[in-house]
Amino acid sequence: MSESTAETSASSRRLRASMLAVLVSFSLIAAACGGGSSDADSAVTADDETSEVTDSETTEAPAGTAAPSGPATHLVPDDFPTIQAAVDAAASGDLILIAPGTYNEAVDVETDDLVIRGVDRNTVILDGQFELENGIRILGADGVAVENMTAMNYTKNGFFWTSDITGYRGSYLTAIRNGDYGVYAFGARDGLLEHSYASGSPDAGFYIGQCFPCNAVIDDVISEYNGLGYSGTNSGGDLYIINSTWRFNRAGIVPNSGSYEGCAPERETTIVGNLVYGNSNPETAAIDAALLAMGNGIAVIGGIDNVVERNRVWDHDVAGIAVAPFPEDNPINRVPDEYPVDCLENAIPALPDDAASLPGTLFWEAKTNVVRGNVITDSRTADLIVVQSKEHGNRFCDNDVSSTLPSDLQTLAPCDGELLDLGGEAFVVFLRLIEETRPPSVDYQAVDLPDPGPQPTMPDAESAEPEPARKPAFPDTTSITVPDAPE
Amino acid sequence: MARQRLNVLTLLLVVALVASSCGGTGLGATDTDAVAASGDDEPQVLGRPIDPDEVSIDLPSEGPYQGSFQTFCGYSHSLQDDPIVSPGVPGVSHLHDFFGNVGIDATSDYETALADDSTCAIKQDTASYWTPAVFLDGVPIVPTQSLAYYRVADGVALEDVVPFPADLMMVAGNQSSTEPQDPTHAGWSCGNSPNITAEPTECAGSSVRLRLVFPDCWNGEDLRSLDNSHVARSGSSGCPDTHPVVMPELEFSVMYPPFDPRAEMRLASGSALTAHGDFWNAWNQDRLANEVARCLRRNVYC
Repeated sequence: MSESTAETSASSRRLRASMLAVLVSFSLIAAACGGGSSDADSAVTADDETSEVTDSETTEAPAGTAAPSGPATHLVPDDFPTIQAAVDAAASGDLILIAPGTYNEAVDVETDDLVIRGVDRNTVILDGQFELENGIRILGADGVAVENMTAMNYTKNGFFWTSDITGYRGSYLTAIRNGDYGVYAFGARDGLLEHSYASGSPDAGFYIGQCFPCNAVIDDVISEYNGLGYSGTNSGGDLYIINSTWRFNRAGIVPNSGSYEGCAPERETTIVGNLVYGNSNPETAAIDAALLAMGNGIAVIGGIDNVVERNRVWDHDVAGIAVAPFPEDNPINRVPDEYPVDCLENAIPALPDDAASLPGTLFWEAKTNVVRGNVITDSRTADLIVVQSKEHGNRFCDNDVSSTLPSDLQTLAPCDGELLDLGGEAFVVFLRLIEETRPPSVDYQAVDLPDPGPQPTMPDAESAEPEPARKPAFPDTTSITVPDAPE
Repeated sequence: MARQRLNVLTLLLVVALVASSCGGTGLGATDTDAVAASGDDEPQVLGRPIDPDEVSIDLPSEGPYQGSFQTFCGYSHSLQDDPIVSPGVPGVSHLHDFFGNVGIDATSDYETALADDSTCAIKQDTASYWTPAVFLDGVPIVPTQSLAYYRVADGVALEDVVPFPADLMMVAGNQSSTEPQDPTHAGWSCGNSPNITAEPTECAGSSVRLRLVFPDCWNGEDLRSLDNSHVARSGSSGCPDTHPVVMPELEFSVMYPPFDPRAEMRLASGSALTAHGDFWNAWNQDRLANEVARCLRRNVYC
């Protein structure tokens, strides 16, 4: 099906789909919006800082200056009463070490290479109390690592890196019941998110967006009871999602494209060795994109050159793995003729000169993706679904499946060899699914969430040297096999 | 618990100081600059001075800038009140839809406004935003929600941007217009589309959006004026000499459910050509200053 045919077929759905698409993009834009430190905290910090430094029994450098002998350690609350005060006093490379306790703070970070660490992941808790927006917000600072703590009940995000960042890391983080994302990296590259847990966000538990190449790895995380387990808009390029668990979200892993943010389209994300199951959960908070993608384990929506290999995927109302276009209504730009090769900026992409001639609906086609060697069971519509035509060059092979849409998909669109006509069967199903009414979002403040129990805490958190975030080592995905299902 | 109480007390103190320094004849340009630049005394309030040894930010010398902060604000209430045109006199205006601060009416004053709740995602945005109600076939329709998007206009320098003075009131658009307005000041679009027109177009079933861009230059003296002459718009060479204080550029949009294209649409103020809106800066001023310093002046997408 050509683009123009797709538009015609979809036109009857415009009334509904355009609403959804607008809401989707709107929600995504909203989610990119952040908050800041509580003014009350900030204000009190200014006074306390002086006295606390004076009273400090430690020997590190005074606020705002770098110790010549190397990174200093700032203790919260012993040296500084608030995390924000310690962050503002720290120099590049310093370690902020936070004692167990509940901190009703929203922390803004503007200094490069800080390491902000909790002594114990399960008892160092940042609580926004549904009044503050972000637990820790890193604003254009490079190399900041956040380790070993919990952020909950923020109106926006638990942990948020944004705006032209090179180097970020989140390790041993727990993010629960935050109003947009759990762990969120936007316009950032050279990142690692590892050994972490996110639940209860209406958007994604984990998100990496607007970067190419992203040079980022998500490894050993659990994302559950979110709208989306993973979402990444316009990201990719050495972006690896590996060895993680995505379960009981509305939809599991959803790379996607859109004109409303920079660096489009999404491409070159590698998704290997994950457990993906039960992502049809109607009892979560959910943005509209999550409602739209609901019931899919891994859904590549308008993405290009992604590799989805050796994941174990089961128990989904729609598809274990789906490859489909994204019809974006009222786009702010077109699909670019040339894809950006070095992109972090353009949070607000330049508008076209001829805005009046933009299409009402812009189709982001999912192209030349490879889906190989996955084990997929118990999908209520089909284990594999591709809603594109053969010209889009998506390929499927060695997947252990019992149903595909179109049927014989792995013969029609093999990894090697000629691509054959895929027919229109999947489009019919796709349009029906778009039409379907989904169980509405549940208020994120009120949704029932599982108690994850104590999560693994960082080894030697009190003594380990601070390591600012640098470009991570990329995994050798060829050595990753299909993981066993949990017992 | 002690910390919380201390925080509240400090907050009240800061608010009181800000409020008192901004009452009467208003906050002068010099004062505003001092507030924004007081790095040593109150670094946490306004962001730290940029130390090139510690931060990696390259600040562009001209726009377009990507720095911004933004908040969704739900629809709050509708009243035939206008705190700018008819302060203290309820029920004499055309019908307005209010967003943000939940307690605003014709009799509101700045101090009481600061204590109100907000429909915004940033709870400390207790500012008020209001627009004329939209009628379809004579029936007012309830907006879906609104978005307050704060950025810096292309022609001004980042380091010149200071927060809106506390208690400032201003208008975008012309409520008496009988001609198409400049759509970059007041116009309509379908959803996110950058195709902004003086009148709403057929949106094929998607949401209709009213888009207002407020003036970003202030005369440094008056917090309000009946003819909006206390504020002006920047151009390619920045703010005019008459209005030298550079403020954030606020784009305020209101989203409405899809219109039936066959229905007759009008605003409480007249035809769609009378699109306009009002902004009253009752933000928690300290929080506003934080976002201006950390996001706008540093060109950070927050």
